[in-house]
Amino acid sequence: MTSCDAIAEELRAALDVYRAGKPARSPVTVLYELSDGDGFRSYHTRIAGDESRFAEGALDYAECDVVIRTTPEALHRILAGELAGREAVMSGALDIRKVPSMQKLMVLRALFSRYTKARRRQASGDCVVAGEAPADGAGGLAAR
Amino acid sequence: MTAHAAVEAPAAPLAWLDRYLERARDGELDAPPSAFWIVTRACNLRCSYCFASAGRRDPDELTTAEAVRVLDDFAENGVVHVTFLGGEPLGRRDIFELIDHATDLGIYVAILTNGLLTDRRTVARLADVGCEGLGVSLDSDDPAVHDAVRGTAGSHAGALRSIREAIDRGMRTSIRVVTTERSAPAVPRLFEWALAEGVDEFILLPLFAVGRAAGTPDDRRADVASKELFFRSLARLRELGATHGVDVPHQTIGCIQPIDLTPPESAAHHVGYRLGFERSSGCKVGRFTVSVQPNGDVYPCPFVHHRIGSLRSQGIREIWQAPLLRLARREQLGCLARSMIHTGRPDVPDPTDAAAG
Repeated sequence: MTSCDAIAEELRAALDVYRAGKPARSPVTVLYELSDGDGFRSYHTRIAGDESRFAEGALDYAECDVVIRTTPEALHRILAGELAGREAVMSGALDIRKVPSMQKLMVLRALFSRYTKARRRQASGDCVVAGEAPADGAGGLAAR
Repeated sequence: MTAHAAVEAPAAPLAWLDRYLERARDGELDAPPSAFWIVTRACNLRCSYCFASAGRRDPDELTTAEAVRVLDDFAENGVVHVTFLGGEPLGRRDIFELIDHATDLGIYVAILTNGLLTDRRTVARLADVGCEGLGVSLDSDDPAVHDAVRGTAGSHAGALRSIREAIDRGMRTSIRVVTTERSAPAVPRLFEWALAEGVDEFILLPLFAVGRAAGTPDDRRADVASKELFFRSLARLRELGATHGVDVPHQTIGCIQPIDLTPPESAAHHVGYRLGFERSSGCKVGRFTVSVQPNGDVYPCPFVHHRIGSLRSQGIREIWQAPLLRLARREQLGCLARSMIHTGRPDVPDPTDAAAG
């Protein structure tokens, strides 16, 4: 069983990975409400360039751009790439309680996606993507 | 068949998404939710009806840096879904880099490939860079027929191999069938095959007399016949779908019809179907999508070959306010592709659509 503390570490690592890439144009604050026994434990991520941070604690919904409510298990599976965000939303495993625009939601998708890909690459030892031609020779079409 | 976990409905079922799609239907978004991006016209097949007239690479294709800037612009303006197609999109040397960049920005990416050059490693790399969907086109369950239409031996085997590898990888998969006199008899069998294989989506398309399918004096008559054939095929699938518990929507416009093959109670069931979007008949031009050409030119949809802007020099937000798109939001024109085919203009009612005008 995945604990809230374990997920918090994953979310912290996800922000580190995110910060290494292209930043969002405008700040985004995400509040995570993770079910824990009879209640919820809250964490939040503030994405704002050099000011980005992750911390435990609730925020007023009015202070947040995106609010999601889920279980530690579901969030762990999303971050591990075992559960697609789309399916998590459709199944109700990921309850998006507040989102003002698709752009803001895409920042959350980006946060998760970068982390998931980084984990995969770390696991496979393959981190070269840019500039490679397909090994199967598809790049040979360039001459056609 | 792939098993999909049954799920309970969420307590507050997707109200935010419903509002978002409502705003899209009303033409209120700053940018289209999705884009079909023909990243290259280079192709190793020569399909007789290719809407993109694919074959050789255009000399003015967007560079990698330009394509990256377009993706940045998309993300900043809420274009959440990009489908890379061609030509053969895997023929672009930087396709993995582009997908990687897009998914880094939170864009949902799918790719349409002919499968000829796709193997286990290619699909694995697509998954590794975050590609979530893979689609292939089929013309028949008979390899000889499919390969004859495609002009290349082995293309049927490649398409099947690709879709199976993508299913194994957990990607969302689709097969697309363009209804032609040659493919129509096989449509029910391809539908059954897709269900048995665990394909997520079956997408039926009419043959539009554009691209390589255009250029004959009989274009208009052929287009009407093609539309009728498409409706007959869709009706046949409706009967067949009923026997499998698959809902095949009605439509009157004669446009691409996705059919979700996953059980409605499954989490894999597409959000569009859950909210009724894919059941809605009507043209999606100006509300849901644009088509990007290899050089950055933007068309209203893949089949309306009419330039409304260029991503080389404009942002998507500006192009989304093109006069033609604003007209399409304001008036019920029917299918703009058929307006072009039958009148040479995209800004007049589709003469084959009784509801248009």
